[in-house]
Amino acid sequence: MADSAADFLAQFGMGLDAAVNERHLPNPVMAVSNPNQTDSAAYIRAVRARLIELGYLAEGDKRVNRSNHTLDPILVKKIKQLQQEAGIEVDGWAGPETWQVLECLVSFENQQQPADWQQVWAKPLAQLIPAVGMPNLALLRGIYCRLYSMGFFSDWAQHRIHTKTILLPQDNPAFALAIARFAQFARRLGLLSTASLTLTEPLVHALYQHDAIVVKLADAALFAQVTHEFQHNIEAISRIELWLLGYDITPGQDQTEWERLRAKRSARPRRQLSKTTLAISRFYQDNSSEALHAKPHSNTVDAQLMAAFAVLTHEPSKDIYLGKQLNNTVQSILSHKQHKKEFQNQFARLANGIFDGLKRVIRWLFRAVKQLQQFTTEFIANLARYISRKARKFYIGVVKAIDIVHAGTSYLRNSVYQFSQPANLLFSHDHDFDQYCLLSPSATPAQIQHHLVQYRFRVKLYAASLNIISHLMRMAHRVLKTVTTPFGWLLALLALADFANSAKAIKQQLDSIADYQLSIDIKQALFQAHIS
Amino acid sequence: MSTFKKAMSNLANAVQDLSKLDVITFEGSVTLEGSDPELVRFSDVMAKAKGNTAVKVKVLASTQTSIDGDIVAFYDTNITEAQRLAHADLVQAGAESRKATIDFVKSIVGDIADL
Repeated sequence: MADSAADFLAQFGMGLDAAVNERHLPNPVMAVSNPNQTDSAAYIRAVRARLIELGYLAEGDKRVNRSNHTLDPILVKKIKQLQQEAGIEVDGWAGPETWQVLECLVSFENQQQPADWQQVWAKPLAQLIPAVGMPNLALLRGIYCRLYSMGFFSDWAQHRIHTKTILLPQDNPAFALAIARFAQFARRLGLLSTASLTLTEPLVHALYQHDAIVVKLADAALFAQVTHEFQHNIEAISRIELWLLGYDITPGQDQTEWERLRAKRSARPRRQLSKTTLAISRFYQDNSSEALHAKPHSNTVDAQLMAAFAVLTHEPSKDIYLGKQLNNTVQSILSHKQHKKEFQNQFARLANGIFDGLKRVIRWLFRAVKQLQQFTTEFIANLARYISRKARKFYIGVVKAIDIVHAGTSYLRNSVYQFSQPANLLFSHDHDFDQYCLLSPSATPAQIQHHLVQYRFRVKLYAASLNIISHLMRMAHRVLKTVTTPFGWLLALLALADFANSAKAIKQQLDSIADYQLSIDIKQALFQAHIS
Repeated sequence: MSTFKKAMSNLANAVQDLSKLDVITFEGSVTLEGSDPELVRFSDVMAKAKGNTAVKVKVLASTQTSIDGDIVAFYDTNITEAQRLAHADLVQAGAESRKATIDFVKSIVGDIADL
């Protein structure tokens, strides 16, 4: 092999080792006393953020803040508390089942049909919100958080959820009042037909169908009916929408920031501006379709804004991201300048909040992008949101892919393989893949066949691991090119289509090894069952 | 931890000579005792077996495939059908490993040349 290729391989191997050691890639081969050790740092941060949102962890303590990706006993204890309250297996591992429960509780985008939660939670909604008896505690936290984010509590500071929040509505008047207020709001929008102002199954359905709420508010007549009494809540809902779209805003109470003035010394003092107003302004700048600009618009929360949101609630065809929208966005990027620090903060905020997996690809892209002068925060944010939806599906694939690469490249150790004790057959190969086999005279045809199948599986894993590595290299190669050419930014955008294709190829490779079990001797094997 | 780096280094060494593939199936009774199989080399196993007069090892089948398609094969007259099929399977395994490696090297060399 040419020296350059051998050097490249060595550097690539070092890069993969470093990525695993720094926990940017998962390490399923690692011996586990804490099963969460197989998870990457970004995933742990995402789990931690959700536990803070639900009041399991107290924000503000250095040990438990959102940027902490360590696996401390407190985190494991709180995962167990969530599992216990949710009524799922209590093992302290934030695996697929726990993550999907968290998705049901806190996600505004996904799991909008509580009737479908049974597929995830293994419990129908009627059991989670029984007509008689205590509701599920974890679900109560989710409902509390959602009502808080939508502004149905009377005081933002006083009623923010924390570890000592009383969760039963009958014991917490503020919670009961928030439920009643939402019930009135949902009835006025036509999303709730019952007269009850208490926690019921239909109310939970109405609360979690976020897109349906936005669509209702897009109706100018309905908007006019509810805006006087619920303007505060509609503004909170619009902040949720802007946050979902990747703007510099967070759900909950509105925040302000100091105005940026062009001149260092200005005749007038700087003002504090509402972040909601700023985000709406940027939203209209970015979404310049004919439908949105049919009428003059203000930078306030009104029916026109909600109508614009409603248009975006429809899932676009994925082709848009691979073709037309990318080209359009490239044009807007080349003519639009953003502050680098704002972009880094925004991206870091998103990176902490969304699922990992393909997001690692975006990290590579980010390293290339931050060297350039021109960028757009909103595009990267929207892109990250799109990737994050796919990344959730790919995360388990990434864990499996890394494990296959480990197992497959171990084939290169040229070891002696035996699949029984005592061994009736021994297999081995040289560094250039010359094959050797030693058969015992007493080996039966069935034994020979059984051992051969296992050895051939090792060979299959080896071929699969090389295939996966070559696709990863292809992705890295495209990113390298972006840094070294004048039109790097342009190439980076166009390379995204290739990333999707490579990721798809890796997934197909994984699917072809359907009977592969992660080679760790604990409940991670459940991954296979859950994902299958 | 440098598992990937070591694997990539082994891979780089592996492609030094891919022009022919040798597959040999032996018959004999050998027991690995006490050692980690991942640290044992087949050549050491065979050397100890040959040095032990109590162990009878013989070649059941041997196939050498050249990159130009020439094949030289040897089969013991007493080889059973199951043993013959096992040997054929092993030839296939060797060919698959080699092809996967060659395809991989082609893909990365192409990427490097393009940088």
